[in-house]
Amino acid sequence: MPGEFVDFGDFVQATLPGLLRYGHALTGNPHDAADLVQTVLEKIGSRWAYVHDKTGDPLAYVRRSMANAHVSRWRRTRRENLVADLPDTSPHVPDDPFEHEPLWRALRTLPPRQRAVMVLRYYEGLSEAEIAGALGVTQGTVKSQASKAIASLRMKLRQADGEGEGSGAG
Amino acid sequence: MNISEDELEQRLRALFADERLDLPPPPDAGTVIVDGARRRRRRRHVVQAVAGVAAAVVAVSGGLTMVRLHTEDGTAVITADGTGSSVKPPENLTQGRLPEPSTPGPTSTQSIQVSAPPGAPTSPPPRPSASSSPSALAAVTSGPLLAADGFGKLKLGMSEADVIAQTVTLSDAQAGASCTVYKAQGNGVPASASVVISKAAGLVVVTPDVTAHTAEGVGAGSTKDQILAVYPAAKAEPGGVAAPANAAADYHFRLGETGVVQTSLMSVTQDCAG
Repeated sequence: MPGEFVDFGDFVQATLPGLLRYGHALTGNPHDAADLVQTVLEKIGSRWAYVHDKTGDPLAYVRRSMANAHVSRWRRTRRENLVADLPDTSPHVPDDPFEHEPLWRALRTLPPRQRAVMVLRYYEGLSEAEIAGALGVTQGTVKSQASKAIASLRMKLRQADGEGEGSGAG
Repeated sequence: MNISEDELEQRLRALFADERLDLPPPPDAGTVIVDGARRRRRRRHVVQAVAGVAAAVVAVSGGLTMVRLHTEDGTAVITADGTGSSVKPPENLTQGRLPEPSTPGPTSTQSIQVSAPPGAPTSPPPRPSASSSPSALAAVTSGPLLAADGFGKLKLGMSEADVIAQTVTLSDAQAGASCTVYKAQGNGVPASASVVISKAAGLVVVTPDVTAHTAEGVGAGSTKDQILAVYPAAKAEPGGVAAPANAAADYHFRLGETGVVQTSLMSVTQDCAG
């Protein structure tokens, strides 16, 4: 149905900048963000009429799909990513405007689901119940993941500050 | 320095609101994504078609068993064919049970009941001694012809090398365990098509990208009743109707709101599903 793809094309044009930004927050780097957005949009576009008619809010559906795809993708490639994370000064790492931002670096150490919870909470401004619905987990899980993430971020920041000041804290 | 939870939350909100998170979309990103969505949908349809083969094979093999059983009893399993021009000798019909020329026999094969349910006004009852009415239906000739043995120069059973020798190029390969799905195009085919080639059985499925018509005049827009009238042995299947093209292959017509929207030809014997 060509009309359907025209409609989907318009949707992509209108939402792409916001989705790339959101993907950047979710994945922590521009390349993974672009990859995630493209993969999810292509999947959703291939069944656009259904998504459009049944979900009521295609954009929210896309964003939830991205959070979930990010979590499951990182579950698959986690080992590589953890290893690749170690040499921070590697010359082939693409330019990341937040490369020297301690909080950004701390976020990168979070397991994907914890990161997704942080993004849904502080980027999207969703409630615990909404996050639970989006990720398909219980509210209890959201609460515990959020609390672990916050504790971990605080620790990392404390470590980063300590290194910066040479006090060796943590 | 120990940072409070409130402060951390503020810093998170500030970071996520930072304009440096913006990533400029590449100029052609929209087109690339829409094309990608189209490709995914096409693949899904082909995969569904292949999955449909599994159901069709089960149905057909069940049907064949019935044919044998009924033939041994001398019952008129072949009446399904008899609606068209090939009329079976009456003695085949009378062995074992009395013929009921004006109404379909209740113990006939399932395919006959499907083709002419008792009392259904739109389907003429099989009348072995009379040429019946498919000719009253408007034959569809739009789109390319999908013959009972293949599509253009592509014939069912051809190996991949045979196919390529027919000036047909195969691309977008999606390999499965024993079969590979390709996009076929080139001089050897009237239109581009999705094909499934089995290592063991060769070309087993052809699905033209545009709605093809059969030699019997079923194609884009044909209704289920019309298909059943033209192919009395046709059977409903999920999403459409399957009809025998010849002894070796079935047509699979996918039905949408406007009637037939896709026509596939599939070998009866193949190992691509299940």
